[in-house]
Amino acid sequence: MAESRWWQYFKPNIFDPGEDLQSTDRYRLLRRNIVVLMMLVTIIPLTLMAVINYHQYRSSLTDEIINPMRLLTSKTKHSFELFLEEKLSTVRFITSAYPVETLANEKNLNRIFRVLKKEFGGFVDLGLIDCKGIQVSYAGPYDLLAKDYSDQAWYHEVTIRGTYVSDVFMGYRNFPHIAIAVQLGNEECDNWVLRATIDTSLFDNLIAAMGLDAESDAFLINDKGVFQTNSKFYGKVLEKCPFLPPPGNYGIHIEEEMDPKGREVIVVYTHLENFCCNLVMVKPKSVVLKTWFTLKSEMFFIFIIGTIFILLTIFKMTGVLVKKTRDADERRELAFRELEHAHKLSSIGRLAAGVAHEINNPLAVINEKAGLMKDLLERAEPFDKKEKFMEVTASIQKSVERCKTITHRLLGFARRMEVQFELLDVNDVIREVLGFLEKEYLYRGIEIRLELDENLPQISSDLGQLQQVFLNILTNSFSAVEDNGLVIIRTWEEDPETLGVSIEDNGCGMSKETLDQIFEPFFTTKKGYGTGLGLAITYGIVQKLGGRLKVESQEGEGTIFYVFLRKAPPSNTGELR
Amino acid sequence: MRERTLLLVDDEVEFVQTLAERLQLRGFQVYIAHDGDEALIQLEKSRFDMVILDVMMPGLGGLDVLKQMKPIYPETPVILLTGRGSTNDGIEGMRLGARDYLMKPINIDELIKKIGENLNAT
Amino acid sequence: MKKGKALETEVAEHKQEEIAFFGKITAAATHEMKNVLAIIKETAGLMEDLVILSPEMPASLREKCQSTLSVIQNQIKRGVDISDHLNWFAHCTDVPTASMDLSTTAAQMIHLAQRFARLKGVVLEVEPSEASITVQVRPVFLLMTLFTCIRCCLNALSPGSRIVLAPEEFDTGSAFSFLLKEKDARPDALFSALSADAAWSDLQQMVAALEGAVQWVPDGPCIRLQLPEPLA
Repeated sequence: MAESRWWQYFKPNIFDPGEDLQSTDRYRLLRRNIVVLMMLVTIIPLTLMAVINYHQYRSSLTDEIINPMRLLTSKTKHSFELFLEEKLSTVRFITSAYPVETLANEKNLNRIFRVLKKEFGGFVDLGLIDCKGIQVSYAGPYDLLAKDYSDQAWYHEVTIRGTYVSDVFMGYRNFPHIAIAVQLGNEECDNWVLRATIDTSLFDNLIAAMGLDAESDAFLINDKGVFQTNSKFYGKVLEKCPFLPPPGNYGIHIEEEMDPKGREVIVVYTHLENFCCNLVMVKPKSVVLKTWFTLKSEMFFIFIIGTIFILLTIFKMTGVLVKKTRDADERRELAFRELEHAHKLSSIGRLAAGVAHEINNPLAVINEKAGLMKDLLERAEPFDKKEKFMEVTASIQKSVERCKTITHRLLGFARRMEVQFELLDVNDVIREVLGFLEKEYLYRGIEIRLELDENLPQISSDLGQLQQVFLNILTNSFSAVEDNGLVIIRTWEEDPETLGVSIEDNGCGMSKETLDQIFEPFFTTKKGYGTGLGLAITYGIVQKLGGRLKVESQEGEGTIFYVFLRKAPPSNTGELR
Repeated sequence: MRERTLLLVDDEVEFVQTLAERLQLRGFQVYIAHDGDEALIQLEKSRFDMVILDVMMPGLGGLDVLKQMKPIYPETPVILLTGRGSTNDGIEGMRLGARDYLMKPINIDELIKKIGENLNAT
Repeated sequence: MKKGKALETEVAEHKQEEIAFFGKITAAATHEMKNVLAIIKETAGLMEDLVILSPEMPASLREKCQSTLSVIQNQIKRGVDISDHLNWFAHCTDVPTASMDLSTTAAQMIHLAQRFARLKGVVLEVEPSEASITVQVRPVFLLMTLFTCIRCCLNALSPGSRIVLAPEEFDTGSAFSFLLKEKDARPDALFSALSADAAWSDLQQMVAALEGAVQWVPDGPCIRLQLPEPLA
C-alpha cells in the first residue's frame, strides 16, 4: 500500500509534469526529468563500479607488486645470512679443529690463514687473543701483535656469548670490514678468542645480484641506522641512513615513506639473523606502481568514454521519446479537438436532417395520392386513355421514389455530424457512400466491383463516422486510379467479433515512405484531395469506433485498405470524453 | 371472413386520409387518429386487429403510444412508419414490441405484405 | 513542431472544409430534389390536362382525380419551399463571412426549425422589423447559434407556447430577441429550465465562437442574442 502510494506520488512528478503547464514547458520538463532519471540510474552504478574496481585493482595490484619485493628481499637476506654463517662456521671450525697452543704459534696461524684465503676468500686477517685480551698471534697484513683488546666491548661480548659478529668498520687501509670472533679455551682459561676480519666488498656483490633497476636501491644498515654498505642514493658506509629500521626482531617490514629527495618510496626492511644488521630495499612508488598508473588512466579513459556515450544515448533517446510522446499527444489532441468541434457543430447535421425529414412529408402525401389514383383507376371500368392515366400515375410514383432516395441519402449524410451508435448493415453503408460518389465514378468510367458477403451480420457503430471512413478511403482510391480504373470492395466476417472490409484499387500505389506517413496528421500527397480529410482522421475515427485500419500497397500496382470493425461498440467510448 | 380493422395514426392529414382510402380499397376497415392522444382514446374505445403508427408526431410520439398500449393490448400487432434516414427508430420500436417497420414514403404493396404476415401470425 | 495555436487553426480549417463539404453535398441534394419535384409537377400537370381532355372518364373518378391532383400540386409546392430553405441554408456554409439581413435570416430560420417546433407543439413566429438590419458574420455560425437557441427554448417550454423571433437594433449594436410566450409560467422557473438544458452550454460556446453575447431578460421574458459589432 505504502509503496503504491509512494509510486503514485512519484510517477506524475517524473513523467507528467502537470497538464496545466504550457505545452512546450511540459515537454521540456518531461525531457529534463527523463534525462535526469536515466542519468541517475546509469551513471551512479557506473561510477560505483568504477570506484569499487579502482580500489580492488589497486589493492590486488599492490600485493602483486609488493610481493616480488618481499621475496627478493627475503632471498637476499638469506644470501647474506648464508655468507656470514659460512664465515662464522669456518672460524668456528678452526677453533674446534686446532688447540689454542697450535693457534698461538704464529707459524701455524699463518699457515691456516693462507689456507683460509685460498679456499674461502674474503678473509683479511686472523688473530688469537688470550684470556687477558692480548693478541698473542696474528696473521695478516697489519702489525697488530700484542694489541690489547681487554677493554673493548666486543671482547666482553664474545666471552659471554661465545661468538661475535661486529658492525662494519673502516680498517687501517680504509676499506670496510667486519670482524668475526669465536671463543675457545684450553685447560687454564676459557676466554681465548679467535678473531677474523672479513672484507665486506663481497656484500656489494650480493646486493648487485638482486638486479635492481636504476631507480631502486638496496643496502645494509645497523640497528642504529648507520650504513653498513654503500648506498646508491642515500650515503656511504658508516654515514647516517635517513631510514630507521623498526626495533626488535621483526622478519619483514614494509613501509611507505618519503625519502630525503622527496620521492614517495616503498621501503622493505628485513633483519639479518646473527648480525645486528638490516637489509633495506628502497623502490620509488612511481616505479613500483607503474602498471597500476597505466591501468588507472586506462580505466579513467574508459569511464569517461562510457559516460559520454551514455549521455549521448540518453539525450538522443530522450529526444526521440519525447518527440514520440509529443506527436502522440498532438494526435490525441487533434482527435480530441475534432470531436469537440464535431460536438459543437453537430447541430448543423441535426438541422439539415430535420429539414430533409420535413421534405418526406409532402413526398409521402404525393406518393399516397398518386397511389390512390392508381388504385381507383385500376378498379374503374375500362375507358379510353385509361392505360395512359395508369402510366402517368406510375411515373409520378417513380419520381417520388427517386426523391425519396435523395432525401434518405441526405438524411444519412446529415446525421454523420452527430455521434451515436446504432445497428448498421455495413454493406448498406458502403452502397450508400457509393451513391454519393456515383457521379464521379460514372463520369470517370471507374469500374466498381462489389464482392459483399450478403450474410454479413449487423454491427453496432456510428453511421456518420463509418460513412466518413469509407468516403475518405474511396476518395483516396478514386484519386489513385486512372480513368477506367478498377476498385474492388469486399466485405467478410473476419471472426465472431470482427467484420472485415477491404477497398482495393489498381491505381498508382504508394512508396514505402508514403505508406509510413500516410496516417500522419496533415500528410497529403495532393494538396486538398477529395474531401480534404486526411487519412489520419480516418485512422482516428476507426480507432474511436474500436476498429483497426491497415494498408498494403505496391508502387505502380495498387493499394488495399483493410478496415476491421468490431460488431459491438467499444466499451470505453468515453475515452475521448 | 370479417373485415379486418386497422387503426392508422399519423399527424399528416392528407397522408393519413389517402392511405386510409387506399387500404379501404384493399378491403380493410380503417380508423384514423391524428396524434398519439387520439390514438390512445380510440384504442380504449374499441379493439383493432392492427395498429399502424407514425413514429414522429407532435406531442405523444409513436414510440410513446407503443409503450403505453403494449401493457394493455400486448396481442395487438403494431407496424411503425418512420421518416428517418436511418433504421434507428425502427429498431428501437421493434425492441419495444412492434412487429415491423417501414420507411416513409411507403410502398403500398410492401405495407400490405407486412400487414398480411403479421395478421396471419395472430 | 506544431504549437497548440497552430493545431487549433488546423483543426478549425479542417472543420471548415468539412462543413463546406457538407454544405456542397446538401446543396447538390436539394438541387436534385427540386429537379425531381419539378418533374412530378409537370407529370401531375399533364395528368390534369388528360383528365380535362377525357370525356369518357367516369364522372366520380374525374372529380376524385382532380381533387387529388390539386393536393399533389400543393404538396409539391410545399416540398419545393422546404428544398429552397434547405438550399439557402446549404449555401450559407460556403462563405467564411457574409452580410446577413436579420429579418431574412429570422424568416429562414423559422422555416428550417419549423419541424422541431411542431414536434414539441410550440409555435415559431417571426416579428419583422421595419428597418433592414444587416450584420457581418460567419453565416453558418449565426444560423447554428439561432438554431441552438431555439432548441434550448423548445426543450424548456411547455407545449402550446410561442417563440417570437425579433431582430432588434440598439445603440450598442444589433440583436435577436427570442420572446418566450408561455401560459402562466414564471420567468425564473423558465430560466432555470433553460440553463439546465444541455443545449444551453452549446449555446454559450456557439455565441463565443460568434463573438457575441447572450443575455436573459426576465422582463418579457426573452433571451437576447447580442451580435458582434461591425468593425467599422
